[in-house]
Amino acid sequence: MSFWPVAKLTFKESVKERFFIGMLLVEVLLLFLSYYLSELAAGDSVKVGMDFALAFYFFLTALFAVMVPVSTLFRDISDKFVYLILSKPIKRESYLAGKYFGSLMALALFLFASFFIVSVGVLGISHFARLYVPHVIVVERIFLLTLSLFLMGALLSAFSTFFSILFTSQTLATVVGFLLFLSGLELASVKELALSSDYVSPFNKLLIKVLYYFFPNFSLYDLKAYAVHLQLSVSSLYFALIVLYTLLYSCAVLLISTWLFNRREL
Amino acid sequence: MALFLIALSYPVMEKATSLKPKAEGNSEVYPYSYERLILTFPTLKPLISDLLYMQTCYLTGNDVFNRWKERKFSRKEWKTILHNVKVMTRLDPYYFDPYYFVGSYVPWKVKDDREFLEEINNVLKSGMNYVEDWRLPFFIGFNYFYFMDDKVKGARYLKKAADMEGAPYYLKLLVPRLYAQSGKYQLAVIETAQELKRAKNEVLKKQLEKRLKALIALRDLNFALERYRKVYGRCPASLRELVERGFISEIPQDPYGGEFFVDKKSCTVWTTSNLRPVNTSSR
Amino acid sequence: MAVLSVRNLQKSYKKGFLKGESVKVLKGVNLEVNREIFGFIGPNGAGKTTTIKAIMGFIFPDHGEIRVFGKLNTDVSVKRKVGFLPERPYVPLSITGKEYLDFCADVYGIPYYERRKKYLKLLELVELVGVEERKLSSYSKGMVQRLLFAATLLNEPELLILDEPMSGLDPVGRSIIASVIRKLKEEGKAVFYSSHIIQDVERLSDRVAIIVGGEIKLVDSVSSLISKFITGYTVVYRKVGESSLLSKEVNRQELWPFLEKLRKEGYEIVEVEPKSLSLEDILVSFIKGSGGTV
Repeated sequence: MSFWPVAKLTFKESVKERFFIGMLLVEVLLLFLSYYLSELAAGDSVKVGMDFALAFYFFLTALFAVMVPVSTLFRDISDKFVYLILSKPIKRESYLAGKYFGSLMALALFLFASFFIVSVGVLGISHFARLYVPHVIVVERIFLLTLSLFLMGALLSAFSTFFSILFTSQTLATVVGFLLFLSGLELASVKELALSSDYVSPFNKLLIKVLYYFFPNFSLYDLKAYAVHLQLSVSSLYFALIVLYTLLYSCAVLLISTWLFNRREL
Repeated sequence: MALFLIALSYPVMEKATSLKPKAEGNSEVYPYSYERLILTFPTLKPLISDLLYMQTCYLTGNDVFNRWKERKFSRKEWKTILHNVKVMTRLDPYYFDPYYFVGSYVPWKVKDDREFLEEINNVLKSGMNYVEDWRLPFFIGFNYFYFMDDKVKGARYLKKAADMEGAPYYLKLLVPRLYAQSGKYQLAVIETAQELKRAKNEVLKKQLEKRLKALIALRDLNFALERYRKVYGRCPASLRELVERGFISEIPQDPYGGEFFVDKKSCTVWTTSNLRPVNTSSR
Repeated sequence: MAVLSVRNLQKSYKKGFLKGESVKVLKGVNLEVNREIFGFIGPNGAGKTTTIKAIMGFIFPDHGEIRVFGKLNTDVSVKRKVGFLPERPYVPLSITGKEYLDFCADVYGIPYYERRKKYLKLLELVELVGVEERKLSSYSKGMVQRLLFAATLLNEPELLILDEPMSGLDPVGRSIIASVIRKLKEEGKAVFYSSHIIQDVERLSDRVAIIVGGEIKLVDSVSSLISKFITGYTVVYRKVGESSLLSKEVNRQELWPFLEKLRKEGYEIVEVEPKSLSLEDILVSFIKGSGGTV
């Protein structure tokens, strides 16, 4: 595939950055923090510790997924490395695809490492917590959460790639990317509240419905509760559907990004 | 030089801190809004539930560093706390601790308020859909039985609790006793017979057998009494009458060592032993 | 067929946001490059880099047509035979030199067994053997530039396009680049480059184009340009039979009469050296002539 050299280069570049190791270190620190916070809870402190740890994991992954494509694309464009790449027989589409997949590969490695770190951290929390009834931890569920986070990162990275082409300021692209993520999380709650409320006008209800289908819904990837409470279960159909959703939406966003990039003067 | 300056600044800070006007700690019970919380913290519902619970515990006086200082709340504040518990359980219905808190601790503080207790039970009832723990129906049953004097509902929930995994064995014994006191002897007999079938514990078996015997006797005596009432239209003066008129062949012995008698007020048969062993400590 | 042909290239940029005026940066550039060393000079802001960006397809012209080896420059396959080095080139510093070369080799589809040999040859050419395993962050600026220049030659391009290839290099680096460029010309390749350093252009190029204010003012071979701008001559002569040399400076008109005079007076001519405007002087006069500043 013609985008593969760019993907490989992007991956190598991203992984060697201090940012990568820094994020993993932050994760470790946050796990310790989760443990200490869990001690404040009377009762099921393992649940509380897990809630914190998984929430940190969730948001750190989102931060990674937003920042890596943005930083690598902006570095290429502002430092004129794009010129060197595009002077070779590489189509602009292939370049963009390469950047995206390279970022995804970096994300995959990050999640691979994080999975081990978080699992060890959570098992540690459950080990050191003093509970009358032990809170059982199923590591396979954390693995499923990690897979789901990868899908979330894939969609989020597609959007941050798009914003990198759309905006000329790196800060703006990063901020908008993260805001999009937060909005995507809110969506489900907003829809639930607004559609059941009598105070919201029908026009607004329609607007919210439209936004809900149009905006990326990141709360689909939230399998944290599933990892904490063993009574809950996730059907494989659900998982298959979110894979499909991610694929469809990411491709759409990347196609738009490519269209935009083909028209952009460098 | 830099280190010296830092060292110097320390006593200055100490002095300033001691002079700082002390603000009263904010221990106001703040009613949280579910809607506002889920909008402010998307996908963090369970976490917010945790934090809310921690705050409630802290306010109530569950001091982590082991000096229990209970706070005296007004009725209004308890209502707010109940509201917050509802929010907590709405945010994360699988979180056990709020149920435990509201089931075990709060009823003692509001024991005369039936409406409040009913609300507490409602929270616990909806919790049962999510949390498989014997303590939830147990608290419901206990509240009905102990505080609200509703023995029928109490028994029903206690039975549910007794059937769940982890419930202490004596609970199974308690359940039939409640039924018996309300007169649903047949149910109590069936209940006990079922438990007997499933019981594996020898001690429990012996206790259940004893109870079953007593319940069967009560059942039969109460049926006989009902038949007497149908025929004669009044309550018999004593159990002797039932024997004399031929409704029963003899007065059975209470396996607990007590005596069966007719309770004139409610016109039912009960026993002086109250289904508890006489002359020995209960349970 | 010209290796590179640029016809009526026009490009303007918008000044304000959305509406607002636009400034015309290229006002109809025409160029043809064959298998030669072609220098492209002009003052800052004349449009050299813009022209090169348009040739490479980084920006899109308003009008005009650019063809490389006969095909339109938008055709990606054209890039297989082209090598390009931008002004102040940059590569992510966290990778090593070899990783960058591998990346280029991946793109060109160079098989693995050929790579080691090719890399060695190129690194020798730019005198950078042995540093390829180090991260680019440890290279000096000149070393980065030389490495990237070597990488440009990896696909054995027929046309080399260089934007300020000597900028930031020390004299050793400059001479390396210059000798490589000459070698390429001997191999029949074409080199099109822009530069600020007029002396280098003068010494290196076959032909030269001068661009000022978005317009090509002059395209000619260096030798004919210099001869067109001869201002005078330095005549070195001596009396027949004597050994001491004398010299005199004469202007163009005075040359032939002076030579006649010498012949008549029994002198022999040792050397006639034309004094010309340097290319730099020519350029400056053009710029001043167009009313621009240097």
